[in-house]
Parts: sequence; C-alpha cells; structure tokens
Amino acid sequence: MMLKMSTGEKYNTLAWHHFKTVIPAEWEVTAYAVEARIGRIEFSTRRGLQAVVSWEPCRSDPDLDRTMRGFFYKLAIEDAAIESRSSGRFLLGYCKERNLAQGITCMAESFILIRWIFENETARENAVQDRIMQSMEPNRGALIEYALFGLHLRIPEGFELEDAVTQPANVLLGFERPDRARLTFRRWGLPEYVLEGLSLDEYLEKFMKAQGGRVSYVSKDSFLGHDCARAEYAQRGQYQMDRFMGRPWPGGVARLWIDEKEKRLYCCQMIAPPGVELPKMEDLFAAAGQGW
Amino acid sequence: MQDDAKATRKKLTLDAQLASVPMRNRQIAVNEDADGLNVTVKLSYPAIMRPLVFLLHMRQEKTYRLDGLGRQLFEMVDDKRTLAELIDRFGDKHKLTFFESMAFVQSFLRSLMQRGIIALGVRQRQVR
Repeated sequence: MMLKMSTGEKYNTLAWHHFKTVIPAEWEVTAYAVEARIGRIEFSTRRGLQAVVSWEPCRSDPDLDRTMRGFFYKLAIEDAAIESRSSGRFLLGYCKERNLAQGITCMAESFILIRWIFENETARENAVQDRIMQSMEPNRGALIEYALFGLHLRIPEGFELEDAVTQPANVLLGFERPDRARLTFRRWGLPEYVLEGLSLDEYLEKFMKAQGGRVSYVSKDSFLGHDCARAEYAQRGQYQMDRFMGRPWPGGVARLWIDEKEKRLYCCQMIAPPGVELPKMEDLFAAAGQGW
Repeated sequence: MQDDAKATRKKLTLDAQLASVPMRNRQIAVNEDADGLNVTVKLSYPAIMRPLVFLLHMRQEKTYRLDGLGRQLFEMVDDKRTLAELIDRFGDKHKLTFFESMAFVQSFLRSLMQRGIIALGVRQRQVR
C-alpha cells in the first residue's frame, strides 16, 4: 500500500482565516476548526496523516527558534537531533529519528503564529514542504479568500465564518456580517442522486422551502459559465427575536448550478435585513482556474 | 469466538482494512426485476430457538431490495476486489475524493454485513 509521493503532483489552493498557500491535490481535510482566533486543520491521504496546520495568537516578535525547540522538547527530542533550515518565511525543523518536521512563522501583519507539522512521507519531502512554505502569504485585504472542501470563495471583509458543516460530498460554509447579512455556500457530490430527477429550478424551489424560505420567483439563468436556477426569496432572521417576531426579510437570492466536469452541485444563498446591501454573487467566487 | 472477532476488529489498521476483500455470502439468492435487485438471505437462529421457528412459522429468509448506489456497490463486490479497489472504482465513477468515497462504501458495506449479505475477508498476516 505504501506509495511514494510524487513531488511533481498537482497542487490546490488552501486559504483559511489568516493565510493562503497551496497543498498537494491529493490531501484531504480530516479535521478542521472554524474559530479564527485559534485552531487547526489536519490533512490526510489514504496513507495516513500528512500534515497539520495550526494558528494561534502570538507576540509581535516571538523567538521562533525557542518555539521550535519547545515543541520538540515536549516530544523528548534533543536539540542535536533537529536539523533546521529556512524556507520562505518559515523556520523548518526536521527530526529524522521521529520522522517529524515542523515549520513555524509569525504573520506579523496579524500577530498570528502559523505552525505546520509534517508527518509520514511528507516529513521527508522537502520539495512539498518548500512549495507550501514558500507559497504562504497573509489572507488580508478587501476580499478574504476561503479555499477548502472544494469551494474557493472571496468573501468581502467584515463577514465572519459562522458555520462549517462538512460531511462526505456535502459541504456548507456560512458567513455573516455584524449587520446580519448572510452568505451560505453549499457543495454536494452525486448530483443525480441529490436532484432525484428534478430540474435545477424545481429542486431549488423545493430546497429553499425546506430551508424555511418563502420563494417568490424561480427562473433559469446562467452563472459562472454554467446553467443555473435563480430564486428570489424571503426568510426570517435566524437570531434573537427575529426568529419569532420579525417579518421575513425580502430580497434573498439563491442560485443553484451544476458543474458537469466536477460532477458537483453548488448552491449560493444571500440574504440580509431590509436596507442592508449585499455583495454581487459573481464577485464571491474565485475566477476559473484559480480554484480547486 | 465473538470476543476473537471483536479483538480482530479493534486491531485492524487502515492499511489492513483497505486490503480486506468484501465477499458475497454464498447462501444468498439474487434476483433482478424492474425495480432493482432482490437479495434473499437465509436467517439463522440460535440452536435453542430452532424448534420454535418451525412451531411458530417464523420466517426463515428475508429479502432486501437494492437499487441506485446500493446496487452499483453490491455489483462491484466480486470476491476479488479489495476494499481499496472498490473505493477507487466508486470514487472514479462519481468523481468523489478518496475519503468521500470511503465513507459511502464503508457505510454501505457495513449495512450489508449487518444483514448477512456480505462478509469482509481479512488476511491473517494483516491482523497485528
């Protein structure tokens, strides 16, 4: 079963909260954190865990060498057993005895310590590590990127990741702004079994109603080069008294389309209280070729 | 016997699971009709219950209907392909990633095993 990892393999964009970089296309997320302050994401392949990336707040100028040694010290690994080198903005340490590599850096722009831990065959793959480390850059600006679970989104600053529900071939990412504007993205596999013979517009109407939306209009449309269904709907707010007493917010827009090449079904919903402006849906998705 | 099976299950690594071979129960009967595949399994009762089975006319077999994805997966089980091969085949067919495909295949095979339709063959040397 042990296969050698090819260093010439394809890479996908990874973008989450504070950073963006690339990771081998074969890696899949097996654990993740939604919280922006502190968390981690684990990547595995059929050969086991390959890497873990974690983020945590740090001082403006932490002693990376000491942080590196502290990590290995906890594993009872002596200084002499660690081979250190630099890669991009990272300090990388490798312990041959345990076959474990760690790369750390401080994103001075946001005072966040990013730590990559490489295990199994990736711990010995300098080319893969270097590609990840050297592609690493802060995820800041007017549009924050989120590229994970097959979605590649550009979310306007101010929106926070509120929900992430990931099941096999069923992903939901939900973002919300303090003014309660909400963006929801879904990605489903096995589209023919999800649609069960319904057309996109029929399915979208049924789905939106099941979500508690009052659908006023459904039409056929085109989006990102795919045929899509577009629905206008109203829905009650989800929090506090809106949920019980508020009037449904009008002006919600949902689109559902199928990417035949990927065999995936995508759905994007946007809704906000009256008077709150929503971004253009077209601007929320990374341009073709920049995503997964 | 049951304890041995439990202990074996606990010790299976991911590699060993992927190298295991799902096999059809030789006692099942498979019939196809317009709605799908009907798989009939003979029910087994504990020895103490067997006289009651005849006295009370308890059913001695049960039929399950497989269609859609279930049928596709059942038809892939040919007593030769390993679990890894089934996962890859299913994943390639539906453009699913390895772990997505694994989740579907494992959960379906588990339900077939619980119903006595298939068994999972594990090579002895892979059990640590």
